[in-house]
Amino acid sequence: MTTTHHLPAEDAMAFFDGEQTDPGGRTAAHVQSCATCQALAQDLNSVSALVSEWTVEPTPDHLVAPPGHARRIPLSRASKLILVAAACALLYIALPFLPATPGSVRQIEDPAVFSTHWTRQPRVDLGLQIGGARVIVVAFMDWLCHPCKKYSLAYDPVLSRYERDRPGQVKLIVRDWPWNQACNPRVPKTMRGHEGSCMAALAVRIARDRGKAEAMIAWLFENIERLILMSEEEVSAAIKQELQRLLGRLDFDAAAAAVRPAFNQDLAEGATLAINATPTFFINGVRIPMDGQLTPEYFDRAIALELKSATR
Amino acid sequence: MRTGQTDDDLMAAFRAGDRRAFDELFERYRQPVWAFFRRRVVDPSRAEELAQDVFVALLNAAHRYEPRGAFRSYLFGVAFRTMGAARREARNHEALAVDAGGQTTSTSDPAAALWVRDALAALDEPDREVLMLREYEQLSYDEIAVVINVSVNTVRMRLFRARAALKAALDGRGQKRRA
Repeated sequence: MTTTHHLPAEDAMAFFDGEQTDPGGRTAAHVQSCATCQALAQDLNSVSALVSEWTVEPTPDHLVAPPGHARRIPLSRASKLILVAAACALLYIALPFLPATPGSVRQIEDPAVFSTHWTRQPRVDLGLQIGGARVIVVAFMDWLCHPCKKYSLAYDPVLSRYERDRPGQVKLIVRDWPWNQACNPRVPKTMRGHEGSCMAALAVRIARDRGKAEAMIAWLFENIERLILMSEEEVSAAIKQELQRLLGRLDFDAAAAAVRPAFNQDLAEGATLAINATPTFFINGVRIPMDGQLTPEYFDRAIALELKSATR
Repeated sequence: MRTGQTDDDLMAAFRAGDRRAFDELFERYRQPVWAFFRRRVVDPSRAEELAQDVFVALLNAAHRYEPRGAFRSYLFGVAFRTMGAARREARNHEALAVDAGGQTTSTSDPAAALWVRDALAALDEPDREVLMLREYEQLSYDEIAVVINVSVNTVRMRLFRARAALKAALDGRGQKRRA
């Protein structure tokens, strides 16, 4: 968006929004023949379209119209403060005894309360046992998903530190969950920007078998902005090219066929676990949903709690 | 359903004692008011409480309502002030999780929705509010100016700044795809 155009950009924006009067139609005539204004219109449309991606769930059924003549009892400021303080105190006391809700762990600020709450989270048995690992973190990922990149990069230092300080005790297992129906019929539709997700998943698996997964993942994350804008053919070609660069000459189809059974196994497991978001993490079976991802600090704290309970 | 009546007609009918008029208004604005808070509050039950507060305030203040502008902007003005009070309360007591970004729903592209939420959260709060009131609540510049009590020029400036920042942050995502 430019601000140096002779029709001020804010005026053009207001015109496109239908908020600018245009006596004589001079602005309309101008913008029709002005490439800068046309580009601005496209920018505005793209921003609006993207913003509209964020929808919210339907209104809860129990949000009902208040009764007709209900009026609140006027309270003094002091009374309100006393009531809120009492509610806070009650909440603090009662929180450990409330039923566990997985989505609420992120909002707990007090480490002691977090600890109590964490231990009350429901767990699923993922049937995993890996050597001496006491904590197994399972991550369902799509390599062309921004939150996956964000949390993967945020959690990496935490996991690296555990590997350095307590080698072998904390293991990360990555599972594939591409948002693309071409390879994952369990997702409701192929999400926009995820046309290359199947190829990316296979490429990481092929690279992993040859000790190059980290380099492949790093390349995908570095190029995610470019890759999500490509057509399926373009993104497939780009990923294959990078894979060739990393691994040298490769029969991609044969390599893909070799990793596909394990890939399909991930999808089956994801379906069983009703994965509906990426990334979805499980820390020793405790599910961390997308709307309540832990900050790195609390991710670290959760692992520490699991290690502590495993050593008892 | 009274499809032929304007919002102001319904408010007038409610003031005259017609309870069904209020119920009709509630049905019209139940989802928009819920969505207003859901995008601004982390905890859904808190969002629900705040939405309920708006309708209680509407009900209690109905006798003072004067149709000077669009009812819609009046209602979102109440919602905006309710949100402001909740934020102040949260800051004072640190007990309520009020955030710039609420939950995304699984009916949309989860990754895109989260991306948008995070990009919005990165904007300055005054710019973000103007953008959200425009894009989600569909208010006009004049209505936004009334709701947040600033001039229309300020609204234009903030909206342009927010959109430019968001465009830069989103880096053209989806634009080439649609072209």
